Amino acid sequence: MTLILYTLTLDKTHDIAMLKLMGARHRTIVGLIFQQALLLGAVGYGVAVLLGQSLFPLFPRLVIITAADLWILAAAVLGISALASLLGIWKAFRVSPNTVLS
Amino acid sequence: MSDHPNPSTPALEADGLTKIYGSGVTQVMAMREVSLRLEPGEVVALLGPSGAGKSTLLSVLGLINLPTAGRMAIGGLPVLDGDRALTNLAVFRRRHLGFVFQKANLISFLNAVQNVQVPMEINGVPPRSARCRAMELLDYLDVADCAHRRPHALSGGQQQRIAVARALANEPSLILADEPTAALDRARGLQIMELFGKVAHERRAAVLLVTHDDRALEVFDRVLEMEDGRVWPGEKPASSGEYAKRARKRAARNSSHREAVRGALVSPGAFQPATAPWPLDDGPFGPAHQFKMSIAESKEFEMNPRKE
Repeated sequence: MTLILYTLTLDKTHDIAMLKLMGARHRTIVGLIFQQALLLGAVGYGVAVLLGQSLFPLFPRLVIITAADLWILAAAVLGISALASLLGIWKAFRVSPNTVLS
Repeated sequence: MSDHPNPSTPALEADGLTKIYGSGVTQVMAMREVSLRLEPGEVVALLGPSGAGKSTLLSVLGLINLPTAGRMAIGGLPVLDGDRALTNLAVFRRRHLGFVFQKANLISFLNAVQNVQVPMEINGVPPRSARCRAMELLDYLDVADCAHRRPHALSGGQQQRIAVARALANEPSLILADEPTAALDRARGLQIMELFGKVAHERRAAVLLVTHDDRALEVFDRVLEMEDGRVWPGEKPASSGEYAKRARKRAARNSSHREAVRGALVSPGAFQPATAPWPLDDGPFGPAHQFKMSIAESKEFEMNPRKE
C-alpha cells in the first residue's frame, strides 16, 4: 500500500508543484494523499468483508466474525492507511513549486 | 501593515535584484541588479535569448526563489528585502499573483471549472461562491462551454484560456507569464496575447510576459530586454520583421561570444583559448581555475559564457 501511494504521489508531482505555486497549505496536500490512502483502505476493507462473508461458510471449521471484530479491523485499516501515506506525504513535502517552471 | 495592494501604487517595484547560484569557484550570477517598475494595467514583454536569466527573474518575481540581494514590493506591499521574506510568501502568492506557463499545467484529474475553483478555495472562498466566480471567468474568456471537460479533452488554446482564468481567480495585481503562446499555433497564440491585453486593461492587473512571440507586438505597452542577467528598457519592435532581425543579431552576437572562449586545456589548470595566443592562468579569478573541476578529464571544450 505504501508503494502504491508513493507511486501515485510521484505521478502527481507536477500537480502538487502547481498547488504549491498557487500557495496551497501543507495540510491541503496532506489531505489529498490521506484521502487517497483512505479510499484504498476502504476499498480493500470492503472487498475483504464481502469475500469473508462468501467464503467463510465454505470453511471446514466455523468462523465467527462479530460486529466488534469488524470495528477493530476497520480501525486497523485506518491506522495502516495513515502509516502507508507517510512516505507519499514526505515526498510531496519535498516537491518544489520550481518544478512547474522546469 | 494592510495586506491589500493599493491600486494607485505600482503593481511591481523591484530594486537591485541580484541572484547568485553556488559559491566560490562554482558561483554563477544569474541576475545582476535588476530594477523594474510595472504599473497596474500594463502589459510588459521581457525579451532575451535563451540563458539570459529570464526564468530566474520570473522565479524571483513570482516569490518562488529568494534573491541574493535587492528589494521588491508588489502593489505597494514590501515582500522581499535581500534574501529575507517580509511576509508569508506562499500566502502572498496565493492572494496577489497569477501564473501562466508555456504548458497550461492544469490539474489533470479536475475538470476546467474545478481547475479555476482551486486557487479560490485554497484562498478560503466558500466552494459555492468559488464555483460561481469560476463560471463567470470561463464565460469572460469564452470557454464556458468547456467547463465540465477534463484537460485532456481540451485543445491547447482552450487549456491556455483556462490557465489564464485560473491566474485571474484571486484577482491578482500581477500576472507572470512564461512563454504562454510557445505551444500554440498562430491564430491561438494571437488570441491568447490579445487576451492578456484585455485582462490587463479591463482588470487593472499588470502582466509581465516572457516571450519570443512576435505575433502580437501591439499588445505590449512596453518592452524590456534581458541578457547576461541584466535588464534594460528595450525599444518596441515596429514589426515582426524587425523583431526577427534583432533576434538574429542577438544570436550572432552570442555565437561569436562562444567562439571567443573556445579552446583547450593545455595543462592542469591552464586554459588555451583558440583565439588568443596566450594561455589563461589559474589565478583566483581565472577561467581555468573556475572550470578545473569540470574539465579535468577533457582536453578540449567550450566554456559557457554564462559562467563568466
